[in-house]
Amino acid sequence: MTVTTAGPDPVPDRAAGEPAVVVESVSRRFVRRRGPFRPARVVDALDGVSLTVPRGARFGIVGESGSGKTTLMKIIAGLDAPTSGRVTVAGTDVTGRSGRQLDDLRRRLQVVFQDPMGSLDPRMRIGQIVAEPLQAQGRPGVREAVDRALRQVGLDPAIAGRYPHQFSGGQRQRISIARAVAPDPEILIADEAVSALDVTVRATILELLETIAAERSLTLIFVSHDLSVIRRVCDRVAVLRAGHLVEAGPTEQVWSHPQDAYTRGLLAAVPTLDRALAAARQRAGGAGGTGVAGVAGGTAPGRAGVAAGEPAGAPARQRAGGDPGAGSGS
Amino acid sequence: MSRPVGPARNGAAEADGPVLQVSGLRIGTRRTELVHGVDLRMGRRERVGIIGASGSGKTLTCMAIAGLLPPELVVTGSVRLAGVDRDLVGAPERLMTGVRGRRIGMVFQEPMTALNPTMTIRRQVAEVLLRHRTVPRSAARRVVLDLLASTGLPEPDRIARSYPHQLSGGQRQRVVLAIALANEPQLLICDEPTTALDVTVQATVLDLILERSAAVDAAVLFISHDLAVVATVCDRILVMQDGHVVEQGATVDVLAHPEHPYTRQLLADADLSVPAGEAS
Repeated sequence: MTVTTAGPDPVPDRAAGEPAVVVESVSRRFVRRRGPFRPARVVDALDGVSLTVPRGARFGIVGESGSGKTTLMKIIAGLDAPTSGRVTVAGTDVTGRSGRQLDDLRRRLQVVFQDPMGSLDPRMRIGQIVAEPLQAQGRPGVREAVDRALRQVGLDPAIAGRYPHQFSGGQRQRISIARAVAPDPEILIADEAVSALDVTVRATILELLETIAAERSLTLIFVSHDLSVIRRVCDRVAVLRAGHLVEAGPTEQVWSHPQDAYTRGLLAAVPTLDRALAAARQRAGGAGGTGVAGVAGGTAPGRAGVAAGEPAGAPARQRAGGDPGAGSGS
Repeated sequence: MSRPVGPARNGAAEADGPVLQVSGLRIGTRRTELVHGVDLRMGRRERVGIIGASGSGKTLTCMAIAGLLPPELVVTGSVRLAGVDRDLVGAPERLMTGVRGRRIGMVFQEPMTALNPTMTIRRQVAEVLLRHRTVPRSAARRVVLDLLASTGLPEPDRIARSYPHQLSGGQRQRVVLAIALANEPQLLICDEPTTALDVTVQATVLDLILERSAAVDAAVLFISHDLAVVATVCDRILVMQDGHVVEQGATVDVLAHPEHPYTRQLLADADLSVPAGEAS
């Protein structure tokens, strides 16, 4: 385990050598068996997806519900097996392995899940929760590793004796992260790790993930439906839709020049403060705005009714012709 | 495409006064006060947002307005709703059940918990119409279908026969909105209505909230931790921190020219525009 000292760029040390994860034409088909009242149904959650996660990268996987991003995450993490195709993690083929054979993978790869309450056993103390993967792997020095992990996520090791319900959502997510990094993995997968958190907590958790990824030279795979979060964290991104890889590349490139119409739609749907404020200005200025400017999707003509809905008690505090932008220049 | 929905009656009687007038609202347990005096006046069709971190008191405030706080919490101050003779603070539960679903509609974050898993959608939408007797029983069936159609649900007839688990998250939230607006309330309270949804579904549900609330002349009180979402929906914003309203004003003023340090902090935290690698 090489630990580089700080520096926002985690790439240098491990850039050499094989990629962290290689996914080769992976498909996953779910077959729902025919029941007494319903026909059999086949769902192709993933259909021939190929991608490469370079070592030390911060790699985003983005898509809507049903895009297959969670299935892909599970297959990479060895929690599910592909119907066809191959997954290589740090040079080792992990496809078709199970149980004991995946011990090696589990040493190298850990997952932080979305809902910290659902993924922390309420009957276990924090110390036990963080220690569990270490004990499962028969590591020595469990106690020290637990203390170190808790300290790294900004928690006092003295809390090891407490239970999950005694913590806030943000603190629980820190505990999940501590559990994931305690075994010193090379790859950390975060599955919607900040979706359940409010903006303030989200900001601190994102910062924490970035710091830890840099300090431990981790490869970070970040799964989310929120492109703006992916943009903040990831240097590369892959866009999934209905089991297919739509587009992949450096995040800034995908963000600024999306090649696929689907990606463009996804970007347009992300509400941004700039666009929202521009629309709010129009409404406040009585310019007969058009409701949700910039929001793709439902474009009911009936929306004109919204513009007619001028606020009754419109506040006097109003500035004429304000300059655009509240610090979020894109 | 504005389909006429529901019974042809409207609260036009109370035309010009505020729809909602909250004064000095305080909420606390016996020992600790949690919300320290909120004042809020909402005009007809006005859309007001409350932002703030978890625990800032925004949900408590909305729950107090709807009379949904557990009895062990002490509420003082005043909540007046147009057309209701008495103060909603301390009002008997019987009065409040007549107000909720009739004059105040509500949409919460998790549509699955807002819907009854054992009842068809038809029965759940019909229930709110029949309970408040806003629609004669004979017409309920048709009105239910109209309401479902008005929220853009495809094949309203099939949706009406479905159970909540057979619908997607976005469809469920549309059903919840149909129920919330069924009786054309004066006030629609939305507490993180799109937080559990994908961005694209979120966009369509936000559009729908704007369109439908305007169609029935409802004012909207909207809570979200997503500042861009609040700015999309609301004319005016209240910023809450630790039970205090620390700043309020027109959306553009508060978010483009924040005056309170906490508002500035919220804006900084929400800003994800710094690309990877340049952060921190």
